[in-house]
Amino acid sequence: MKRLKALIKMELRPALLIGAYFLLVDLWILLSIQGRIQNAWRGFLTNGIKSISLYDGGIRVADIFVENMIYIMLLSIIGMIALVYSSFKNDKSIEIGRFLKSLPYTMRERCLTKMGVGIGTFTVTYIFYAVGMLALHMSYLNKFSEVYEVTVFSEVYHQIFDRGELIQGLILVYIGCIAIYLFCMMFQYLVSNRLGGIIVAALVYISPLFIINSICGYMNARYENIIYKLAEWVNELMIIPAYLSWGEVGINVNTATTISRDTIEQYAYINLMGYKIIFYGIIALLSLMFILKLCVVERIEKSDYFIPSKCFRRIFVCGVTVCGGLLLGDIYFIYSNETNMWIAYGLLILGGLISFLIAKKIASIGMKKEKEVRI
Amino acid sequence: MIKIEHVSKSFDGHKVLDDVSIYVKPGTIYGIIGENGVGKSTLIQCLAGVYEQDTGRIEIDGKSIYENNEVKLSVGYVADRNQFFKGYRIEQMIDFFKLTYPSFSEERFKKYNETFKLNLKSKVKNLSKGMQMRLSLMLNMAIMPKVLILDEPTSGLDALAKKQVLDFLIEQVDETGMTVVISSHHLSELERICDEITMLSRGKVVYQSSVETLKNKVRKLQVVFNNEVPVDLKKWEGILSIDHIGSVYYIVTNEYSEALEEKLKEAGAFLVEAIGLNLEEVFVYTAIAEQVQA
Repeated sequence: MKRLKALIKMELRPALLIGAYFLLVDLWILLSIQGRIQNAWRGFLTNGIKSISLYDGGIRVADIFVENMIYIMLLSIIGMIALVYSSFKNDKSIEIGRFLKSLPYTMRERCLTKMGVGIGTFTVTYIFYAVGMLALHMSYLNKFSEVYEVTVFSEVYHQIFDRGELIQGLILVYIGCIAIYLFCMMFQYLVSNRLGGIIVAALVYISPLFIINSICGYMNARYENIIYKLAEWVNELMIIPAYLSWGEVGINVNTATTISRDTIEQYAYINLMGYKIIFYGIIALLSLMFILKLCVVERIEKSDYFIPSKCFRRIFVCGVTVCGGLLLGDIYFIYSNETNMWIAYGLLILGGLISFLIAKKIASIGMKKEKEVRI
Repeated sequence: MIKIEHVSKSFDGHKVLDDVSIYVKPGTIYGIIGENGVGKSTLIQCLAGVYEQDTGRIEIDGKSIYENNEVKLSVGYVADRNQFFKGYRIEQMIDFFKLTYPSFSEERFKKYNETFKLNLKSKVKNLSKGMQMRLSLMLNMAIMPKVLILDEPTSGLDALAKKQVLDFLIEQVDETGMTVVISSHHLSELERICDEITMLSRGKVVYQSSVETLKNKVRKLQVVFNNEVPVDLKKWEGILSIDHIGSVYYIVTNEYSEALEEKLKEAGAFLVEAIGLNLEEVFVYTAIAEQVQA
């Protein structure tokens, strides 16, 4: 460990800056939650139950927590991407990269140090955020519990939500951010260009979502189709928890005829939260496994190639071809009033062909012979 | 001590190193020379564990260097261009080396800096090329390596800086007994400091010997023939070039021996006089011959 201190110090330089950003975001969100809870409480004290009644447009304090989880997730992801981008600056510079390679550190040690520092930076700041959230939750819970003891109104009761929900939400955001970080990091080992790596990672991440939705369009899939249900699941899992918490809790609670603890739980995001934690956990684990494999086979002499791995070059070209084909068809579906499936299939092939040529060009960046990009 | 055996390395299907074998004895200064693009830097980087060779073996004290921390701890590598973190100050680079190499001696660094006088507060990116080279040399010397690998350490340096760097190198090798592998274009300098050299051409080893042996082997002969010059003279074994001014022929050979002189006399030469070449001339004649052959 002592031997790795120099590497840790080197990796900490960009990480500290991003760490400061995470802290500012955390602080801003905690203060915003605190302000809104105060307003809700003040409203309750001055205007009574009406201000927290959902029938009268009142707010559910639990939703404030949930909403802010969306912000923390999105802002943390931006930070995570910036962290990946800045932490690979030295490695991707040919001269400094060579220097690092000549040092008595193995590639795996360098990779693990980078990963450790990145995850560590986020974790430390996230602990601060999580503790703040739990403290705020406890403080407002105490207030409403006391009121509920003397005023048995469901409006008051539904303001009380379980700490378990909050903890689950916190875990989900944490696992989600770590998964995105590791996913982006994995692409830094697959793509030589730092920005290119981030862009390719983003495209690869959204591609299953795009492909399955697009196939639904081509198949004109309806609610009862299995492909439609699959698309729903993919949408559910891949779009960050924001969708569920904001959409379903917000909308469904407002439209529910009877507001009770059961109703809220039924519509709440908790049911799927577990799946999402598992889903992001799997992404994180798979990314980690790939990173550990890729960091060892990475060769600095191949840093001129946009995509050094032959296998990934093929996957990239195939993926872009499929997505490009589907995209052209999708555009046709959106802009034509009457859809002719033959035209759609024709566009699918045309889009695929154009995308194939473009993808081949991109995949061959840095290579002397384009024909080396074989499928 | 350093064993490079049948090493080959290709980039984009182009063979940069082709079956290169070199043995470096401990405590010697070993030079690697060759034209631009013959694979000197690639070989140096394979030796420093930056690149992994496609085939063959590179061993230092019997152990492979690639991804081997144990070996790398005793190897210093001075690259041809600035290699340090641009945002770091010199003192931060010292800290970095101190943490990376347990053998790093700050006292030694300071002692070296009495010669080079670099301001420790300066940022690496603000240093000139010569200063960066001096810094790299001092840092790598201060780890007290068993093997020091230098890639074109004097390129881009002015005459004074070159002398200062090379004198420093000789002094330190003398003092510590480390093994040095150096690649350079500046052959007159290598001639001065190297015990042995390897000349590369198109990724292959063309010469490998001590500087003195090489200079004895590659010679220019001043020849005057009685009658006609032998028609097949150009095809003789080891003849690199033939030139003449009037009746005086200048023949450069890389197979100089008394037997060759005798052979020339038998072919009608009445005057054969061997002229010594310096390393640069040896390199130039060999390179031209290789180009002609290619």
